[in-house]
Amino acid sequence: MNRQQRGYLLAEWLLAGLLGILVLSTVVMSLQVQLRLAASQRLPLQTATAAHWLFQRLELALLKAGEGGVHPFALDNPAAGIWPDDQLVLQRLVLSQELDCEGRKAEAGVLLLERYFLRNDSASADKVLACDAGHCQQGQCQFWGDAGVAIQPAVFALVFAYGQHDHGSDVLAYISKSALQVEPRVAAVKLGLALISQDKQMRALPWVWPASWLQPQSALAAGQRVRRAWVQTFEVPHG
Amino acid sequence: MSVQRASSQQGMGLAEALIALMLASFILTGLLALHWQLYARHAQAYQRFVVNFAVADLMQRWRLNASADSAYRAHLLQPLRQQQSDLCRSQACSDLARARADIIDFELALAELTQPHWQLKPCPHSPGECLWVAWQGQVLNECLAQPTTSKTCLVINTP
Repeated sequence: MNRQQRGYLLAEWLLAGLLGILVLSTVVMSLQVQLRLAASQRLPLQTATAAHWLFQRLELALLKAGEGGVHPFALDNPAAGIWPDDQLVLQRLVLSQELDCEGRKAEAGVLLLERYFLRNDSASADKVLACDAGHCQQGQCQFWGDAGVAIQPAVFALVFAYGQHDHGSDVLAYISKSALQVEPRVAAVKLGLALISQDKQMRALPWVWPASWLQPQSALAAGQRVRRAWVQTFEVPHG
Repeated sequence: MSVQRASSQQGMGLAEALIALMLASFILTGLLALHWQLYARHAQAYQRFVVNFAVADLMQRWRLNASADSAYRAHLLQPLRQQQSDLCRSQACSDLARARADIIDFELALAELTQPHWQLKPCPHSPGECLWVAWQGQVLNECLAQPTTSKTCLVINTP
């Protein structure tokens, strides 16, 4: 029995080892391809989902802006102050107790200000979309003008264009906030939102701003994080 | 007895090895197919978001510019590819020019999809006209036949 079963020869071991290495490297390569594919499909979907949620949130804020007969963009409220064009300031009269965008209770009768803007993230090198809320009564505002709360990380561009009709005509023009007049009413707001994924792909890919983006932008270097930008138009019913 | 068994068992036979290989290849193929299906679902979901964003934006612009309704319908029937809409983005525009610019922006928003195409046709489950958008090789006729189950087409009521 011992004479018949002498174990494997060195050549057999070497061949088995070689085959094993080949099989293992094929499996590893296949896994790498799978991971790359998974990331390339998953990351754009994550940014699109985040954008969808943000658009819904901002649409709701725009639908309510101007309730109570006040100017939806607070142009009639000196206490709101002057903010840069890339910040959206909304105003409404609170009709029944509700929560503001920072999660504080706003009582009925309070003039509620909400400011959506980009600021640096304390936890990363990215920008976050933040919201600052202020409660105004008799010309005095509380909680207004601070850093607010972050509502979405990894947002790298946020732009607004306000649709206002020309005086004395029906011609609509989308203009910046600084060009906005108290009258006539603002019919719509165009909102441009650009997001960047928090995870990385394995390869750096080039990205260009979409042709329908609201402002000319400089080109960005290729990066491993997925970038996507969208423009949506929202009606301002109380404009 | 033990000597006889040892001499009759000299490793796996060809048939056993082939069955083992076949089973392994079945399992691997199944796993790969599952992975591919997952990627395809992610891609489809993303493409649907792109179409949803583009169509929702167009419908909102259309509603805001209702006086140019016939211009939107005419431009949707004859795509305006390869043209620019820069002027209307920042300057005052007549209703008709804005309708044209809005359709160009709609086309640009769908440009990242494979073979996007659209038509105005009667709605499947309600009166009125709908915008039927199909992409990724999906033929609109297939979309018309199965509007609710098709993964690469979208039907939206026009204003």
